[in-house]
Amino acid sequence: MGIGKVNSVAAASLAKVNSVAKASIAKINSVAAAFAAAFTDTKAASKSITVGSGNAITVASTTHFNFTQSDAFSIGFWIRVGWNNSLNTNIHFFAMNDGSSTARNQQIRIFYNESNNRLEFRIGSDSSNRSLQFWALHSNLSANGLAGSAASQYWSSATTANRGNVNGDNFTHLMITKGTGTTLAASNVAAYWNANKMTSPFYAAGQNFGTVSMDGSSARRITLGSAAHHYEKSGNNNETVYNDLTIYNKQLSDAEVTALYNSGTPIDATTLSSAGNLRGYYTFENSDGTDSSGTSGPTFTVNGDSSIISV
Amino acid sequence: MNYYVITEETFNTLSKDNISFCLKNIDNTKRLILTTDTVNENIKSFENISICSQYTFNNSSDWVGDGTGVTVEEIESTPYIFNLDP
Repeated sequence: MGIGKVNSVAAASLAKVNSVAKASIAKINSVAAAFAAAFTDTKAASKSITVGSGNAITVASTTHFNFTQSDAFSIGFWIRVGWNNSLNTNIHFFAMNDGSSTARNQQIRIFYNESNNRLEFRIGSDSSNRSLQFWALHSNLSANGLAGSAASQYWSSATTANRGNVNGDNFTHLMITKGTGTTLAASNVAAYWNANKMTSPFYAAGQNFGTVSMDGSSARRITLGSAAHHYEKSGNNNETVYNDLTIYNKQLSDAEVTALYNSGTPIDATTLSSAGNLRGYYTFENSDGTDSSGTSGPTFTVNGDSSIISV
Repeated sequence: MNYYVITEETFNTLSKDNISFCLKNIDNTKRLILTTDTVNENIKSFENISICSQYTFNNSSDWVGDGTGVTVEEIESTPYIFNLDP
């Protein structure tokens, strides 16, 4: 509850008191004030390396994020890497499909291919109609801070250098954005590592098969930290931790990504200028993954060996 | 298309332009490749992509660090690009 009156001034006349930080208020001394809860961000979702639906972080079925090939959207999250340089396969960060065991049906996927050091982004409607893009991380060293191109220098938790640029808690902020173009052409997508744009997506036009035609009405399965079609590809070594998943129904600008990154300190995304385009916001501060976007988005269930942890 | 496990030495003799997929094993001594060339000096060859994929699941500890294997989809959709090969 906010402040109702300040010295007989009606609440309706108060434009700013309820959004002024407590520390900035010097003279309202005898008011029993109820300040809005401060943004806290002390927990995150840890995805187990044991796989299967029983250990997934997932929304089983929703139409809330039914972006299609012609929609602009942005998907971002903080990630603390747990895998090592022996992973030698993919780890899926964010994925959706039609709920079947086929990866390519209604797919939107963001994953890391450790064997080739590539951050991959894919969309598609089925196996014959899809668009792919990737960023070779060793071609974007100035943006991500990784050590180099040798396999032992790829992105992992093996050493401090293998983590690339991280904040004080070893988290990296990743953001993938897409415009309204119907393929993942370089001109239509962007990837940011701690708000630094990785300027070298590999395919100028995307790698395209057929013509993507995604179904905007049928429900999809969403997963965080594993692939949606078989709940696998969750990494090795130690659990990878995800925090503050943000899903926007627009392509964020460079400045908007920078504001969300906030110099490495997670910030309440609902306070930013881009908040009106938030479609999903998952801070994992509760016992599950409830949505804080204000759009009544679905809840991520955190199952089995996966858990909410303090960070 | 031909599917092989080969040594690093054999790999170095091949035309990289004809290779569409390449995965080093975990200790970097062997490579699993898809190529249009015929490679007689191979450790193992496979009849098709499904058998090739299944081999990695059956020999996971040699090829993949998460206890799974290399899926057919991963083989099909992760093109080998010579100038990005470390």
